Amino acid sequence: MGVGLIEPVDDIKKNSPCENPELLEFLTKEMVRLKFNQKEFLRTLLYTQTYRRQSSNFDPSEAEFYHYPGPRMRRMTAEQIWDSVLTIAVYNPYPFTLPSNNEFQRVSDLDLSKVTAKQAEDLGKQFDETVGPGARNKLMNVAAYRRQVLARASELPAPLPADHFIRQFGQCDRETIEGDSLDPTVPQILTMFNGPFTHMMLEEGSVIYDNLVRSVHARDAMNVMFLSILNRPPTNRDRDIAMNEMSRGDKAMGYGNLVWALINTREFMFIQ
Amino acid sequence: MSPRFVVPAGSEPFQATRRSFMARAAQSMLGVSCAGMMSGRYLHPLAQAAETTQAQGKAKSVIFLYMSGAMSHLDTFDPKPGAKSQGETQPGKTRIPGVAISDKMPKLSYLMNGISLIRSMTTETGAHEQGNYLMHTSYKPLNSIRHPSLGAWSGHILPKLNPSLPGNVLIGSAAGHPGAGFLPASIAPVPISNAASGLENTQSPSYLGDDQFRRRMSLANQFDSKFKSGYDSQLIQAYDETYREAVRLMASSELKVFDIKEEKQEVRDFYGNNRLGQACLLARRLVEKGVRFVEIEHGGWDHHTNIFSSCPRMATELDDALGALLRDLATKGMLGEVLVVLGTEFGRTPTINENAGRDHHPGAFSALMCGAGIKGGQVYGKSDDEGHSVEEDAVYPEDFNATIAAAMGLPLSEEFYAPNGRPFRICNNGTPIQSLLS
Repeated sequence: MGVGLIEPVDDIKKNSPCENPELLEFLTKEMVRLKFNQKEFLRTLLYTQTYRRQSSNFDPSEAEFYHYPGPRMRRMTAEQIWDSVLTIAVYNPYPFTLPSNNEFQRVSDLDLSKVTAKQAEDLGKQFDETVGPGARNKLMNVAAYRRQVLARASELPAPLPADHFIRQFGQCDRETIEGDSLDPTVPQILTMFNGPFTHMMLEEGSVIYDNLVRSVHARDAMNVMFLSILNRPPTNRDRDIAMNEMSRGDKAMGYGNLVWALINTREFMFIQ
Repeated sequence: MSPRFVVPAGSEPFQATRRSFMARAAQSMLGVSCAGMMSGRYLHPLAQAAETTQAQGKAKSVIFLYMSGAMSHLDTFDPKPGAKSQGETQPGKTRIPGVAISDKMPKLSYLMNGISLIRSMTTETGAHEQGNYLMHTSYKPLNSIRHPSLGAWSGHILPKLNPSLPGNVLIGSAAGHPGAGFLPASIAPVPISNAASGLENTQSPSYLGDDQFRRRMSLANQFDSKFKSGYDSQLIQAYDETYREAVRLMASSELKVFDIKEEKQEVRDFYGNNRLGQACLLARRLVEKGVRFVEIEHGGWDHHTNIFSSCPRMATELDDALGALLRDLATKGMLGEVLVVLGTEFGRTPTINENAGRDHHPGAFSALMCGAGIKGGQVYGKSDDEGHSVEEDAVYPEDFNATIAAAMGLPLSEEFYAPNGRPFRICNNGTPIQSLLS
């Protein structure tokens, strides 16, 4: 969060110059009030408007103190990019997670004193179709796309093979400490252009594709697209550009072009 | 982009018969130019290189064949005829009197007058991962930092020879490769897992025409304009630049360079129809178009069992592939600007184990260099009679790398600061082998 209240941060002396004495005083009182519970203290920080502020343009290479007008603009981590792509494309990115108790209950809750054979059989069938091993295998198959397991980054083994999407975008190989990279490479961009996951997103059966096809009005489709990918509604200008593209004819092609264009913006890849 | 290398007038295209091609190639390789070539100013590239007074930077490009798994020196480039350690491998004469290599490598034996063999490589580690890292970076692995590989250093210091293409390419498995280390990821080697399938994700779907790709890009730029006008960080600019680079590559006619199917079948056959052969062919295509550093990772040398049944086949493949590569480069007049090196992480034990294999042996192993900046036709260093230890002129991985770096003209004594503030040198104070440098 930028410049320390005391700089250097590991040089705490009674007469160390303080960046913001009022803030230091306040935080000291808070820490005492919370009985030095660091979790609660952190919670307070995370709830501040300061912490949740929009990203700023600060370049960390500039040799000056950062007075924290907000987090600095940064690229999504490799794992965040992967999870974002999955969210747009896959219905259940948690194929390894067991169904919830509620889901189990719905197909296993029966009163044995009253149940008929037919009811029991139906319920058994439902169980198999929704949460049973067969259903789970089916889910795993759906989750695999061109030999890649479509599960959240946190559910995948680490380190992943060197040619995996996540490694390509800079995931640490676990040989060194903090070996993550946010740097751009040409293969990353080629993956965004033509990679299997880009194709997957533009195919029938992906979350965004299905949502777009379900949209009755073009206006809804534009909202779906921008909210899903950029987390904001389209501006009027965006809408004009998109409508113009859609008016060229083929609907599926138009959607494909627009979704492709949106995931290839810097706005998608960077966190505001 | 004009070709980077001048093809000597005397050289013929591949339509030439195989025999005349081989003859011509061998002539130029050996520096024994025929009359037609002597008459013009097209001296053999090796001869040209020798004439140049400039001491450094002769190698504009490097092709690095990395034999992963630890290639046995005793069964390839440093056989010990008569020794107890020799096993079933037979020596074959080379064109250097008194120097023999495995008889499974007749092509390289024939080309030996252009090659510098190093028989005194030695290292301290007998573990693959550490040895591999040391051979690539000249440093021992550290948990706090990743050192750059030589290809990344060259991309960091030297300008690109061809702006449309990546300057650093890695053919074969990229697992465990140190890549760009602490240098920017943009100069990390671009991986090509299989030479036959080329650069991945460069193929637009068939339904997408060229103009549609341009339209998609233009849409992306329009949607992005507001965001970009609000933010202007170095990383965003770096991404903009990389997008431009990728678009340039996609649109470039140079993209075809990655497609070895453009080569005639006889050329592909000449290199050998296997991964190594096709990788060497791709490497030649890449350096021809100005890719500065191409590494070929070729595994399978970890012969703990049955070395005498599996190693000969690999030696033959290597002989075919490297032999073809050197001949082809010589014929195209490129050996004056391209340096070809072969290395591995360590050697294999003189003792043959109970599984008829050889185990890890860092004490002595072999490497070779040929082409730009290197004096051919010599053997540098010597291992003892059993191939166990180095007897003369020990060469450590950092010296090996420093020799390559010197041939490329990289500043070996300059200090570079990693992001964590620590200073590093390109080859960790390795010393170039002066008698190998031309």
